Amino acid sequence: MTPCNSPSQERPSGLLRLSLAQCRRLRLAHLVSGLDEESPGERLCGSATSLRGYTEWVSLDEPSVTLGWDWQLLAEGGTARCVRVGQPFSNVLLVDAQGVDFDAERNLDALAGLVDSLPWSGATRDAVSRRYG
Amino acid sequence: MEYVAGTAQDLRSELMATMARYRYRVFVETLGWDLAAPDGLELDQFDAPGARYVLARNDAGRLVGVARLLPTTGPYLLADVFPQLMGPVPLPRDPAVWELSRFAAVDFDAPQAVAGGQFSSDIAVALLREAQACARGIGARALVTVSPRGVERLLRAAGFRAHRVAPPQVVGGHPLFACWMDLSE
Repeated sequence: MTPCNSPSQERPSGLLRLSLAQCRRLRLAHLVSGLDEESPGERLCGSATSLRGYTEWVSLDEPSVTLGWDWQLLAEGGTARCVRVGQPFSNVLLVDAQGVDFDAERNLDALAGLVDSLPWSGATRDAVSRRYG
Repeated sequence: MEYVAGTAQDLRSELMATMARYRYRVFVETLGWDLAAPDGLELDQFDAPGARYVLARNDAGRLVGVARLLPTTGPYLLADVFPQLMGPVPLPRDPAVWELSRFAAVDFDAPQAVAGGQFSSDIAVALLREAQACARGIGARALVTVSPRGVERLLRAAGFRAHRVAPPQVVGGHPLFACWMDLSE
């Protein structure tokens, strides 16, 4: 089966076509993490506050991959950990063994699975702690 | 909501001034951007004859959203101010690729206007669709834009086809990146 879209016919948009295996071999480093600002309506004295934010990771080697996602802080059993919220944002479009592009939903699901396999929560939590005191 | 689109020459000077005052209110007063904006009018070097504007007005005729489209065959924000956001990817210089910039969608008349925000999501999505339609009408097959995370989330939530061009740069502590929007159908 030939790829249904030929990269050579596309404009250089930065989209990186990689296999899932290639992505799993990437060395990813934390770039920056931050908190989302609450909307004014949520700033009520005494109301529960849920910490939500974003985290950005980049590949240490070529190709130059960017992978970012949103997270929420969950307190469980006396410990707090960050959990992914929603699907990640990236410049990667995964391809299958025949070089055929994943469709959008499958791509995001697979990238989300990749995120979930990474030990990112501690690094993100620590970065946020350092940043906001 | 009503939309008006065109070049500075197409739009009346009064409407252009209204747009400049609205942009001042959003970007300088609300977001605190350090922009040269004499007399409360926000216009920059990219507001040149080649620029196209898409403006949204509410039922009362007040401006509630603005968008600027620039051809990548001339000067544009990403190329001239933020080329590093492209990473290893060549800057587009393509008549079918336009830049979306100075995008804002805030109805200051609405009681629920987001304090400190750049857009109301409903207005923003509608204005984005209109801007994309306008861009297609002038031959664009893709848009690029300098984006913070909020724009990325908005695009995703609204179902637009978009992806990052390269890893973000951290500006003022926040990630900023080039976003590519595919307009092909």
